[in-house]
Amino acid sequence: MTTMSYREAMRTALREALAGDPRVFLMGEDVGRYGGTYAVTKGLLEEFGPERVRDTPLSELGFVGAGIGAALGGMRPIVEVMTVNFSLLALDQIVNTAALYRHMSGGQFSVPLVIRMATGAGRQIAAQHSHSFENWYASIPGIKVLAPATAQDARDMLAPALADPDPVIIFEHAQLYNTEGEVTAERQADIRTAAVRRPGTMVSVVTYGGSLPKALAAADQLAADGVDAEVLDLRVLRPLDTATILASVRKCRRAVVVDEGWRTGSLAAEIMARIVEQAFYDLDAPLARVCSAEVPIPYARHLEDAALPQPAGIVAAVNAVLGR
Amino acid sequence: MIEFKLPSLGADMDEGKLLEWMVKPGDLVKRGQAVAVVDTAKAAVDVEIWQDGTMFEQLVPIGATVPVGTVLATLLEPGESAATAPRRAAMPLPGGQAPAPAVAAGMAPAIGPAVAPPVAPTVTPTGAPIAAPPPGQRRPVSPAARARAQELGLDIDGVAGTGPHGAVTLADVVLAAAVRTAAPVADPPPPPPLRRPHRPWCPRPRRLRPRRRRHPRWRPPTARWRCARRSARQ
Repeated sequence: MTTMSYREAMRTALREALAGDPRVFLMGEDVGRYGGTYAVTKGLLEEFGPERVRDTPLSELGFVGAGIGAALGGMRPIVEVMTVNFSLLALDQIVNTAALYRHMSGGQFSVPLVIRMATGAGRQIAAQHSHSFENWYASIPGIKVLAPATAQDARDMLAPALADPDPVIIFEHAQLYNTEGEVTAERQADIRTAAVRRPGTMVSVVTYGGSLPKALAAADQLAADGVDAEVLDLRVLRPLDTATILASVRKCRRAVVVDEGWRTGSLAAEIMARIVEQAFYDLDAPLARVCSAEVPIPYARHLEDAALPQPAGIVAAVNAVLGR
Repeated sequence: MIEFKLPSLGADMDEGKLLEWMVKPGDLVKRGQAVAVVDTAKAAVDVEIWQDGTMFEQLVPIGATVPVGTVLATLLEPGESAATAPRRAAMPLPGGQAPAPAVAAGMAPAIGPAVAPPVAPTVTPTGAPIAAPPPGQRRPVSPAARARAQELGLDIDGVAGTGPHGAVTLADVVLAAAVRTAAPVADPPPPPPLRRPHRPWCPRPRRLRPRRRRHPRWRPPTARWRCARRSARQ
């Protein structure tokens, strides 16, 4: 077991994938010479050469489409999109092509493509680089959506994503790259199930990605105040592991969903809907959610902090649900 | 023997102060007649009697504050004799002396040991007062609490809520059920039942449907009238 940063864990996974399968190659803006905007692919160009670590022009539509073509042609491409904000330029390729090819071809073609993208705010890089659109992708049949939130998951989830015959999108929250965690040599994570990060009994705090450390910090504060909160990390945003969510909610009978996306139409809304559909009679209090303020994410530090879910807001929501 | 007990006159009432007796021992009383004035935390309220009878012993002195459910007085049922009626110990005055209860004139007090009445104050299962919801609003009860109360056969209206916005939670129901199981069955059971709370502004339960009123000159149809109707039809 070694301690490494989320960034190093992701790089380790990429290195293992490149070394283990000659069909795997990396492609994206600045992934080669510059080492990746978030320095994830640093050193890989030197290690594997320009055939397998390819810098692309600034055209998401173009290089995601090229990735789809390579996947159809038998390769296992890993395409990096700098942030989810820019992936909107490639939505047509992802939604109309990658997600639909199995269906449109009557099962003759599959697109074994992995798209990695950074997401989220908190680094003062302003509105056009800070949004969270995980819920958009999580609503599309035909693709899988992962959100590893720990170093262990960052290392573990890439290999099964590559092995999957359909397109898989991996969201890496920009705030997580510098977080550290222990990573075991053997793989722990799959790409089907959610994980209970902190067992508890009084309220189920359901979250994913960059909000997980905030939820855990809030749970620590609550524990000091006598509230035993369970923290559930979704890990897989599509398909949602509804069984694990319901098991946690049925145990705690109260739930707070923490989601960095905007409230309206958020993934939190979908999770709450599923809880109410399937566990209404187990609930002991109305559900609550902590989401981002419905504004473009501000640049100024204090405004950005105010717009995002924070541990204090999670604590307040939990206390409100508990009637404290 | 009829026991006249202090009813709960409001959702937040757990005791009351006797201000006045409106009848004397020996007076005949009718069901629905106001017989005493009791001060709650909010107002002086006329308290009515629920059965016809004759006022026998008034056990609580004017000015005493007693819990809800305390026997204020005993009444003789119609036909019951004062000579054979059992006697109760009157409540001591604040000075510490135990006065003889006010007894109906002409009803000779029988000599014998006084029997202390069991005082069973009405409490909510959790001991907390149950606030009635504002008019037009439902009292919040969590789905889990409602389901469990139904399972246990527990009346959810009698359970105090401690959850968000005063909601009844699962824990409240479990506690209320535990209290219900633990509490010995009082003899007689404490009045009034929780399902029918008395409110100061409406001390008499309203009839759900107004009594049907006949025209003052209405008479039941006679056989002759029916015959007339029949022949008119033919």
